[in-house]
Amino acid sequence: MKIAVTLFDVSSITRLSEVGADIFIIGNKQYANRLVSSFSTIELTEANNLIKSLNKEIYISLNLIAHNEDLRKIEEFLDFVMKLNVDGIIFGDLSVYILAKKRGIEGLLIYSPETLNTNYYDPVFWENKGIKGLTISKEITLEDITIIAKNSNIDISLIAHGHLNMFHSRRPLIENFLKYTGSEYNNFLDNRNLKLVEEIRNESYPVFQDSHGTHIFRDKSLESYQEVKDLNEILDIFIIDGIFKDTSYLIETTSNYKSLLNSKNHYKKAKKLSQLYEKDHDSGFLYKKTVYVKY
Amino acid sequence: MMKKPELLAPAGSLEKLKIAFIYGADAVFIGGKKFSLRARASNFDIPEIKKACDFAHNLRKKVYVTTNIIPHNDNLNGLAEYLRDLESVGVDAIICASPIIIDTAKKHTNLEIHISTQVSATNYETVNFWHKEGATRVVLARELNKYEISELKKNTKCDIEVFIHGGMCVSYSGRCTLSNNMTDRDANRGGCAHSCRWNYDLFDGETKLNNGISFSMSSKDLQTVKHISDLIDIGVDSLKIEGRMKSIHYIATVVNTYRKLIDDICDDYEIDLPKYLLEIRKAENRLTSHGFMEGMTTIDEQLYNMRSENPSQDFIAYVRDYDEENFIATIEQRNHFVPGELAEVFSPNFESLKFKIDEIRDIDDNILDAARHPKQLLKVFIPFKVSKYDIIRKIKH
Repeated sequence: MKIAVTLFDVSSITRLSEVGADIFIIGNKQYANRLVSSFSTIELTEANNLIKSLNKEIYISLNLIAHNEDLRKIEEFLDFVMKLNVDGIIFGDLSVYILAKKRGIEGLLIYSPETLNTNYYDPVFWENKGIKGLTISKEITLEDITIIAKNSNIDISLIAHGHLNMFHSRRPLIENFLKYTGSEYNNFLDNRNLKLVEEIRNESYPVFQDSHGTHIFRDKSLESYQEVKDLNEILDIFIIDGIFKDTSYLIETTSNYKSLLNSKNHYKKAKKLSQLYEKDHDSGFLYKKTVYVKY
Repeated sequence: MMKKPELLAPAGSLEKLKIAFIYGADAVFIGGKKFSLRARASNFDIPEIKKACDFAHNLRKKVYVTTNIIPHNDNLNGLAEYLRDLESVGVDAIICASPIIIDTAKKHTNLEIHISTQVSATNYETVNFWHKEGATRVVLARELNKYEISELKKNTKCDIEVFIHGGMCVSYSGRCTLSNNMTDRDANRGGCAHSCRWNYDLFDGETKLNNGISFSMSSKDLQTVKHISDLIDIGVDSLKIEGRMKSIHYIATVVNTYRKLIDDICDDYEIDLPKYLLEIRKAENRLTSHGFMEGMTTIDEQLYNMRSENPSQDFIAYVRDYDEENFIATIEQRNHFVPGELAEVFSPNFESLKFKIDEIRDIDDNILDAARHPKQLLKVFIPFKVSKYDIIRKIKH
């Protein structure tokens, strides 16, 4: 199992690599949703060179939901990415598959549509399409993750640590609301300090609006310290997403997971780490089945 | 000649399905007991689906069945058998979103496959992907404006279906798990708790940005009377009304309004838009807007500072029978009314006609001072011929 991290800047690649990151996820905000930061083509090239020189891997996040007008610029971006010779391309919109296949690079693709990879057949379907792998949806239990991963012949990845999103609208919901109330506040675009609090729930949900619309996230971050050893047996890629955090958080968590993986008697240590993080972290849906019929 | 699109309506029961067809739908979509979203909509079992198909096919109309959940591992038992059952009772297509349902249908049946809006198909390459997978139709994402729909249609051979009326997800459909996270109910398996319609406070750090009014992201319902002409010009293959949980009155009113509108446009009659807008408003229980039809949503497409929904009280009865000799209609009560009130009959057969409610009698000929009981059979004098399934509405002063 490789560890993948979402990269904030080129200057932290070496350090993250030293503490155990194998894959760097990186992108440009025109073509990707919910990045920790956006890289220009020059910065992407620079990061690519450095990551390659360290013998690590680079995955490009290209997970926008595409509208007709985006298709041409996606093609241009794919042509650019092809020249970089990257190790993976993460996508969520099926147009990216079509356009990548046209270029013969579908073998680099990792399908990550947020909510749609939910059962053991999804990897079978995508294996037939010749792609590299898929990311399991976020509302899937550990039991189901195990079944899906064990049955898969393509790479299975999971966002196993980090702040997970739960809503994506194309609408500019924050801007419109502020306009409606006549508010003069105008610092809403891509402001990552905004939060929503529901009237009867004592939880606060990070929210932001960008050119792709409005995104809302879970109250707590996910951690899987006590599960990492088991996940190591079944997953190909363990993703740590640093959104709403920073490089030092990525370094800290990557080191934690790495030391658990290297430790023989990890249970006590893992439990301690979970306790240390429990104020703003939880186990997400790993042990929580959702219901779907209300009577 | 202009191609007339299919008018597709929802039906939560066999009775609503009949109403939808009688009032002008070309096809209806229904939910089965399994693999369908809207778990709370009164879904059909296989014998009922057979009845629905038989009824529809007699009228040369169609029935589609939603199998649109995004299933987890333990939701897959009996899938092939269920799909074969749907095929054997004559279902015209299934509406689905998950690869396992699509591939199982392809392997075990010859069912026609429509791709649900749950996958958020927003561009022509995505539509073409599903077409290549064997789908004959893709239901487009509700985030597209009519210019995008037009360009999309020009770049695909696949049939496209567009939502024209009803409730809307404020998120990209299928990409929302607010309900899962806030209530443990899985939105993509039929458990959506509509958390997007709840009230919130908005903060920047510790500073509250909303004062006096709650932050709301709730969407108005979709209503596209003004855009139907453009959608027909674009060549959209099917125009879809949302609402498997909606009432008979809603279905009759909405279906019939769009039916007459589509017919008028295709027959090249002059279009009296205000008339249609007035008509469709009678079925509204939430404010409406055109959604994304004209471009990016503004504050006019959002629902602010209100949570309550007001189901129409104007629907007072519907016709069960008519005695032509004595001009007496047998009607089934749906909302309170008294003698002396003004009413109109809304019918698929004629433009609405007004009458004054005179004596109200029960089925044993007792004179009543008011119609109080839901579903009670009553007799009233109506001076013109009405038919079973005609709807009686109160006229407000």
